[in-house]
Amino acid sequence: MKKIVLLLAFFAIGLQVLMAQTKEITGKVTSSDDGGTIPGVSVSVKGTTLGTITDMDGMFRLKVPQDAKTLTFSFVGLATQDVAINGRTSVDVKMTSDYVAVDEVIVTAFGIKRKPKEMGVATAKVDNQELVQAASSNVMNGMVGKVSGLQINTINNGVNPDTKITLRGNRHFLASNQALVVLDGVPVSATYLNSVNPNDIENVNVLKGASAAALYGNDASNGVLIVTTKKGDKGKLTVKISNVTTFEQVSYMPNLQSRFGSGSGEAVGSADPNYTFWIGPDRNTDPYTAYENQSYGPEFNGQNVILGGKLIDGSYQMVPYSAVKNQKLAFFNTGVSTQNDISISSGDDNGHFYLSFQDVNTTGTIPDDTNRRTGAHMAGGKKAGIFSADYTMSFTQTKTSNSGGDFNQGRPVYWNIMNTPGQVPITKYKDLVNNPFGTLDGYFNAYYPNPYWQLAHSRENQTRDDVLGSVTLSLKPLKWLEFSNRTGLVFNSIVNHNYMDEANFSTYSGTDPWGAGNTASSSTHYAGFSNDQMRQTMIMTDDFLATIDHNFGDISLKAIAGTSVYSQKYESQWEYAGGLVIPDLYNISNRTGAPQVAQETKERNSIGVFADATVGYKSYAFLHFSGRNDWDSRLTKANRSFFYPSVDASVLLSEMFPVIISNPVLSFLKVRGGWSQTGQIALDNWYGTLQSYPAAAGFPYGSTSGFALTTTLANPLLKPEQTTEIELGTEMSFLKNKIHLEANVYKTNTKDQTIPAEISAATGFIRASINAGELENKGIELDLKFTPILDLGKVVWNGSINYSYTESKVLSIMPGLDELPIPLTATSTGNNATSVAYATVGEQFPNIKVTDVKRDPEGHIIVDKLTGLPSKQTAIVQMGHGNPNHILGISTDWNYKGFRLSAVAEYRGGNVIYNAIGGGSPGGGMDFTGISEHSAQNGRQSFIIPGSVIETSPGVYTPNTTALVANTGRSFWVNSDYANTQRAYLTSAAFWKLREVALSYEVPVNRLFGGKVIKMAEVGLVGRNLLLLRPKTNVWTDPEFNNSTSTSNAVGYTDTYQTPPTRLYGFSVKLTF
Amino acid sequence: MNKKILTLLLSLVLLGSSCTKFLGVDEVNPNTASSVPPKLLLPAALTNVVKVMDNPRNFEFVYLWYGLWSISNGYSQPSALMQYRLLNSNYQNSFSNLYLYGENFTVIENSATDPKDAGYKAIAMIMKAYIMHNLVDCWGNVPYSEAFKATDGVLKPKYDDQKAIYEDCILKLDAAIKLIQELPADANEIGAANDLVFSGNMGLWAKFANTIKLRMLVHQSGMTDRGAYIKSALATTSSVGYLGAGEGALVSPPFLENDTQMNPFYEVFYKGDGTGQSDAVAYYFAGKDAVDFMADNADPRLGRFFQPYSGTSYAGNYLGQDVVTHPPLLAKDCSKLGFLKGDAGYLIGTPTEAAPLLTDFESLFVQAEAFERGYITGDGKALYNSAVTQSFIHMGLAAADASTYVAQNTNAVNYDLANDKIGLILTQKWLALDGVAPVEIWTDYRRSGYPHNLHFSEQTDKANDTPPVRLLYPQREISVNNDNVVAVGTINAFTSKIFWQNR
Repeated sequence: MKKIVLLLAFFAIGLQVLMAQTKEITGKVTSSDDGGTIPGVSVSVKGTTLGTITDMDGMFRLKVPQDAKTLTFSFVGLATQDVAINGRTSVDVKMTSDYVAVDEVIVTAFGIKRKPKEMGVATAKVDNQELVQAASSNVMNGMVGKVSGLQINTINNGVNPDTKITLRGNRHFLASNQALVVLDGVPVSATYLNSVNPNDIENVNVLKGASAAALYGNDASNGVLIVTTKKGDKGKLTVKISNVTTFEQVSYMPNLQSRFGSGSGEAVGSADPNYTFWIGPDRNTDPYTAYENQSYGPEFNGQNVILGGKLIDGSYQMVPYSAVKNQKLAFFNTGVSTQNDISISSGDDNGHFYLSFQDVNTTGTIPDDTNRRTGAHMAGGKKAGIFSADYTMSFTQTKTSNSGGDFNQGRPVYWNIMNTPGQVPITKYKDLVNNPFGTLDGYFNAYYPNPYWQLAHSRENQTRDDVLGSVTLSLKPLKWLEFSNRTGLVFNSIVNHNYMDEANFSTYSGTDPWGAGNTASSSTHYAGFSNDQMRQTMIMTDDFLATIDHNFGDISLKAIAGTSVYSQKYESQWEYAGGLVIPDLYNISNRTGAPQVAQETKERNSIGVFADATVGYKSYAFLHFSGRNDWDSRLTKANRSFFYPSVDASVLLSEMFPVIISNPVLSFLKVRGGWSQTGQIALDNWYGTLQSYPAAAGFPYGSTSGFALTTTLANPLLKPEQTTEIELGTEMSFLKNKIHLEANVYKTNTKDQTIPAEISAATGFIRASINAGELENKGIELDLKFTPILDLGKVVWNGSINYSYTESKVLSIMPGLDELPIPLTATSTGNNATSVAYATVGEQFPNIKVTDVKRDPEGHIIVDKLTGLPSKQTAIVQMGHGNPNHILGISTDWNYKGFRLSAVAEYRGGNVIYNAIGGGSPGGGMDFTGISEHSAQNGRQSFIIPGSVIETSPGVYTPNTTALVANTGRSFWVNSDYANTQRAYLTSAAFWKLREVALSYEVPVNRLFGGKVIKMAEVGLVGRNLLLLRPKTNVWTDPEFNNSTSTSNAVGYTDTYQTPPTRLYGFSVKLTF
Repeated sequence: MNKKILTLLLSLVLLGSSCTKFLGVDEVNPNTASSVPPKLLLPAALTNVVKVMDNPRNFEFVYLWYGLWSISNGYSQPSALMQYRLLNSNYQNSFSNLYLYGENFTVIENSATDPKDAGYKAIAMIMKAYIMHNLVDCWGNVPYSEAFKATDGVLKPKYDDQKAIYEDCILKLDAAIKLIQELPADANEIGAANDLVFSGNMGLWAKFANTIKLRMLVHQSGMTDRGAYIKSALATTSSVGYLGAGEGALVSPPFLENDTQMNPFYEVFYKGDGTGQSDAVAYYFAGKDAVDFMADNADPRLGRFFQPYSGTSYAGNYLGQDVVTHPPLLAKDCSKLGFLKGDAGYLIGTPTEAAPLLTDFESLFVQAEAFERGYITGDGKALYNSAVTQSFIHMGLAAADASTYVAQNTNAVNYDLANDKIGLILTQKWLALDGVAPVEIWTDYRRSGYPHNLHFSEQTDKANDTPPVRLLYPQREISVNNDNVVAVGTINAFTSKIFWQNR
């Protein structure tokens, strides 16, 4: 019976209502610096949620229970104060600014809480307010620009964008450099954060280096983000509801030309004159071609011309031969994202409870793209004597629908937009059925499909379900001794249903009536397909910790011993059916021929045993050690066991030698340092130490089965990549803590990289996995926080600046090899380059190398003295590196009488990017299509390549003043070696971005309703990525994008798979009951 | 007390053993086997080799350089091919793949330790000889004695002398034939699902081995002082005989009309969904030398190798015609490769037909030449006529059509009228092997100069008057095994001849 009561009590925590007699307290809050009043200060009864905020004159009025003892005053940027009531009815308080939040705790590995002053290594914390100030629905977007050493890249736009997270740069050539994310104690992949509601997050503790994370052993080498969700605050039931609505618009297109229309010259002599004709004096170059995708026709002149060709009924369309205004931009929609939240929180001294529900519904800038994320999160806990129990549970479903590739070449939508000449009124072809010129047969473009066809008929749909739960049981038999055990479970299911409908051209089109050599005549039919995949991941963890926390006179000791068990199981099934029979039925049973199927099941387990101790002396000197031994199933028995040690120390010089701060300038000084070793098992194939004989390509042929060796030689001797990190840092405060500076330097060396080294095929294998190579990563991090020294009256201004310098350098790869393409399977220089990144000994990583034309020693382009044309050189040239050296983040907020204006800006620079979207024939970018401003820069007239030289005799170069490029249009911008090499499209990747601007106003509801129903109301305006500044040479796209996945290290390349950059703006309403 | 200690110890042991199990999950791969018996390796190994040898993309240079095919008058002309400019990166996948699949035969050879599995061992040895001599015919000195030894730690195999490789391969073929001749009575049966070539008929495998041997020895016929060696080598296995009419070594899994499962030649031209075609259909066109040779001799195979561009008119291009001075025919005026998709008896053939390692007509042509050279005994005219007949049958024609053809009153086809019988045989072989055995076409030309009067590239800026005599070592090898490549010496695509080339 008692148990049942206890249980009921446990669940009823959230419903209890405090019934007590009350009294009213009034007071005034002023600044200790200038005596001015401070509006917006939160005043609450300690240990409850009873509270209010100060009004515009810094005054507050609050009803408190008779037995209330203490009031808590808090405000961003000011030191939180607890003030005893002592029977008073009027309490006035002076608040001081304070960045050294002494009482704050840092959550480190396994939830171990440590005081910042004890920390010998750099950490940072982003709390909920900072995270959601610009109402980002994605946790990662809310972190950008706010922490030094943290680099977050949105690698593509979209309704569910993929983000890449790195801390302190790169440590691995091929293995993932993404930080480990530990969500409520459970390690998950960084992409998992896309499924988390940012409003549920209490805070994110950033353990920047491997040192702070060493206790996580394997996988900790890239740093760790410890994400802690809300558990419910003390006080009576609080209900929060909010709505955020944001709009997303393409902020700019690449620079486009609006002078020239359809044409590519190739049809001269063979095409029907009805569809190919000439405008202007020269009939032999660059004719207008009515069905052409390339824009190398004559200059626009406004006359009416045929577009496309005659349909079977003899009809045809006429359009003015002039550029349609905003033609390509008009294709894109304004995306809308509606985010609705509700949360319930409650708690008392012995229990707490939190429940939230969120729905985020997003439509994209690409028409028909949608994403909907719906999730619930629950957390709670109960304390009973020496026992306590906590749990969290969350469920999220994310449904995404994106457009797929086209039927002909599998190209993305953006490619087909780029292949639409300027005179084409593209938005008129939305109707694929009733508009005869929007149909497969009637669309003007003989070579590329109507992009609206692919929106409607080629989709990539994904449903992702995430469940995460954890239970922590603690036992605290003595004041200084605690045992705790956390069991966590993550279940993740991803189901993809991708399909494409068949494309059936009419017999009429198949005869190529326009004389175009059209797609229909070379292939009258494209079969539809259904491509499905189901993936399931189950992670189970169990961490046991025994903690001793005791002081022995001047010596304090916190010692932890523990075990960590981790198990991950993965299942995937994939099936593909080409040749769908019944239209609109996407099931592999609806097919001709045999389906393709694949299955993968894998499991990895590890056991870790660890110990961690912090010894303090007189609260100003601290020494911390940790050690962990892992046994991991992915390696063979002999190599399975690994030890990961770390040590760090911290000394608060200002407390040790008070004389240091006995001056008005310096108010705090701490120095610290740390060293650690961590490992990462970089085996994508968890069975990689075993030789493997999968079914050979094509097998089984009916009843004939067949197997063949894989082409990678298994290596049973593989071991983890080993990262050694050393860091030094200092923290100092000036002018009564108004300015706080934190500075770190670090160096990491990662050796024994896992390299699937190429070997001679004559061995019978083409690759062998080996441990070799070393990558060194150095950096500086500076974090400066300040409140202005100036007296701004009632305006409270806080600012912070963070700066990181990162440099990754390849020290070695393996004997006899000084360069690796990244990724290994990349084709870097061929017609369909997929990457331009390399690991090159002696160079920064990733090294960007591109194809180029021949140049003189000064870098001038060498041209032929007759044709004026450059020629391609065999060697690829190094142009820089893909990761930024410099990242500068600036955050600021102003508070005035309930108004809060915050902004975050970020600069990145030092790196380069290859904009394949710009290029000529191989790769097929905007110069290939001829819609680029770049390709029209000389008005399609003869010109001298700027800065070019002529080789007059071997090794002697003179400036070219005479040799004109005679090929004025297509032949130069599509086919010349200039346009067919990559260097012309490589630019600095530097940018400035205004990441966030948010204006909120806390409505003084306590005046309106006496604070009885609505405790707080806030309205706000938000904007993200409102401004992007790039160097003038980058006329193409956002250099933050990248054409690889978040786990790939191949950065420095974008193409038409990345849609144009967007800006977001919207409004929010938040109510607290 | 003792009981407690016992319980504690027992539970520790249990914990220890469950730990071993927990951490041992990756010791057995649930997705793929970590070893496979020979009978399951053989089908894929055979299919993979024929996928290399029969894929026209891998050896398009032979068809294009030697007058059989040309390129349409499109906008993407393979200028390097037309200029005879080879790069180290050209065709390097064939080199890699032949070794990769050779490794599978090595595994079969090494794992067939049971005497009852000697048949598998023999097949593996025969196929390795087949692979190695094709590698030598294209690249000369290649890794051999240290090849296929990765598991022994040899990751940079040395390059062996090509003549020594040839000689050792011939010994291996002899040894394989001996294994077959001495198969135990209770040998494990090799079924049709495992032996995709001869369905377990080991007698035919012996004949195939002997035919490969004959082919390799005939390759050396142009060398001086090699006659005695050739004759004595042939004598040791003369009783085995050679592949005859209807006994071609063709791989048939069987192929199916699905993407990735089709006949490797057909697969380059058409898709598996029953509708689409690839751009190869519009890319390769008829070679004028081949069209003219067939037209001149009333050869009914003309309509089988090529499509009429209109009615019954056929036309082809020479390679590398200058667009301005001597423009190649427009697509509409030129013959494509024959014929409509999926028709048996045409060059492109069907998606499901067996793919040749060595056809019966090639065997017969080789025997005919060996007879003319005095290496073997027999009836030269019968061998020649049978070879032509089998080529006609392969191209979907009747034996009677072949009889009419060879009876024509011209020394270009008629054995009795031909003074240069080796020229007759090799010219007919050149045509017959179109789309079937490109490496052999190339080898025959390099060692003999037949067929005479072929038109070489008309490109004015070509690197050499005649086509290269070998392929260049793969760029991959230069990257990962350079010391051994360098040790071979300087390689020139036009002068570094294969050892059997003596002209």
